[in-house]
Amino acid sequence: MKEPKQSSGNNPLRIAVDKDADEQALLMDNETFIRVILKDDPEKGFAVLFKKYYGPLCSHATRFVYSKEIAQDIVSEVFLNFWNKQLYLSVTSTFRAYLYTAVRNNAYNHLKQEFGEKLATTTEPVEDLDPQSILLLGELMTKIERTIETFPPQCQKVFLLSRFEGRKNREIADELQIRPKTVEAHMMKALSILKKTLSEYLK
Amino acid sequence: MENSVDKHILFENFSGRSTPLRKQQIEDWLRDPGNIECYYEWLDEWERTNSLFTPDTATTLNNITGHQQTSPQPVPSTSRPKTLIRFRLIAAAIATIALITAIYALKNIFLYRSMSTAYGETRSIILPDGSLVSMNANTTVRYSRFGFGKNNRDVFLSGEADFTVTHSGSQPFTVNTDKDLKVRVLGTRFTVYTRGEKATVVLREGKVELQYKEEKQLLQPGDLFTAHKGARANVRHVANPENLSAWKDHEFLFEETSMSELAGMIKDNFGLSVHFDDQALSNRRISGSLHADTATELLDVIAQLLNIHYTIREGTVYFSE
Repeated sequence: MKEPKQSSGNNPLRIAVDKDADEQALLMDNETFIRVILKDDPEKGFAVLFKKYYGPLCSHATRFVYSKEIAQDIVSEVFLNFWNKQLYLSVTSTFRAYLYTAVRNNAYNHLKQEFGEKLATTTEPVEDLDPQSILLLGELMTKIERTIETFPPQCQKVFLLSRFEGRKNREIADELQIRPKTVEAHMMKALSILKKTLSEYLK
Repeated sequence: MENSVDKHILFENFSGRSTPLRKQQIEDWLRDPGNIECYYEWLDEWERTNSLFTPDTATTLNNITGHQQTSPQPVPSTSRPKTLIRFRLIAAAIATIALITAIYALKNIFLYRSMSTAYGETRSIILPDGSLVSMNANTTVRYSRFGFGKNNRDVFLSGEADFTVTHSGSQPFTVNTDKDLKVRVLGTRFTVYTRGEKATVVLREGKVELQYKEEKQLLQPGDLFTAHKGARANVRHVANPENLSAWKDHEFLFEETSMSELAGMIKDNFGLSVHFDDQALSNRRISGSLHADTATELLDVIAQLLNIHYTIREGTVYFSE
C-alpha cells in the first residue's frame, strides 16, 4: 500500500493541508475509471487511456531521442503493444507507471541502437526497474539537454530544426541562408558530440 | 532517518537540479514500491506542465485503431433527368467554391507556422531569428514559415504572450493583433495581451513603437498601454512591470485584485466562466502571490483565503459564502 505523501510546504501561500489527499483520490479514481471502461468496452477504454497519456508521453520520449517523429513512433508502439497483447488485463502497477516505464525503456533502447557501441538486443519485455535505473534514466535526460545546450548557437539551431522538428536539410539551408553542406557539417558535429557524451550511459 | 521526498524535490530532480545527496535520498525513497507509483504520478504531472510539444493525439489514435472518421455522406443523385443537368451545375459550383475555400484555408496553413496553447498550459517557443516568445494559456502565435527573419519579422498574436526580441540591425520585429494594434520593436522585452475587447502592452526593457488605429506612440520601460473597445486608450507607468508577466511561471499575482477581475483571469487561463451567488462577493479583493498549475489549485487557495466555497459544474465556477 502507498505511503502517505509529504505535503510540500515551501510556498507560504500554497495551502496543501488536505489537498494532496484529495488529488490522490481523484487520480486513483481516474485509474479505476479507465480500468472499468477497459473491462466493459476495451476499445473505448483504450481510447480514453490514449487520449490522456499520448501527449505527455510523447513529450517525455522527446527528452531522450530529441525528435518529435521518433518520439511519437515510440509512444505509438508502446500503446499498440499494450493493446495487441491485452496488457491491460495483466499489468499490476498503474497504467501510468507501466506506460512511462515502457516509453523510457524503448527510448533508451532506441538511443542504444542509434548511438551505442554495439547493437542493442531486441526490445525486451518491459520489466519494473530498480530505483537506481529509474534515477539513471532521469539523469540521462538531463545530460542530453545539457549537452545540446553546449552546442555553438548555429549548430544548435540546425540540430533542433533537423532533428527535433524533422525539417529537410534543403529547407534549413534556405531558412538560415547557409549552404546545404554547412547544414550537414553542423549535424555531423552535433551528433558526434552527442554520441561521445552518451557513450558512458549506453553501455 | 525520516525520508521526506516531496513533489518539489522530485521536480527539481526532473529539471536536473539535484545534489548527489538528494539523488541518494530519492533512490532510498524509491525502494518502497508505493513510492515508485508516486514517482511516475509526479513525472506525469511535471511532463504536463513542462511539455516540449503537443502531438496530434486524435489523428494518431485514428491511425492506430484504424477507425477513420466517417466521411460526409455523398450527395444523393437525383433520378429525374430534367433536373440532373442543373443539379450538376450547382454541384460543380459548390465544389469550386469548396475548393477555393480549401485552397485559401490551406494557404494560411502552408505559409504560416502556428503555435497554440490550451487552457491551463503555458509554453515558450524560440522563433527562427532567436527571439523568445512565452505564451500564456489559450494563446495562438503565427509567423511566416518562409522568410521569417529574412524578409520580415512579423508575428500575429491572439491571446497573451511575452516577447524577448533579439536585436537585428535593420529588420524590425512587429507584433500584429486583431485589435487595430501593432507593436514595432528593435530588440526589447515586453508583453502583449489581446483578448475579448481589451488589448494591453507592457514594456520592461528597450523601446517600442505602438500603432493603435492611426496613431503612433513610443513606450518607455515600465509603461503600460491599455485599450478598451469604445474607450480612449491610455498609458500609465507601473512600478513592477515584471509582475504583469508572472504567469510565465504559472505564478498568479494579485494586488488588490477584485474577484470580478479574478473571474476574467480564470476565463482567460482555464476557460471556465465564473458566477457569484452573492454579488457582494465579486467586490471582495485579494493580494498576494501563489503558484497554481490547475484551476482547482488556484480556486482552492482563493476559497481558503476568503473563507468561501466554490463548486464547478459544466464549465462554470460557482462561488458562494
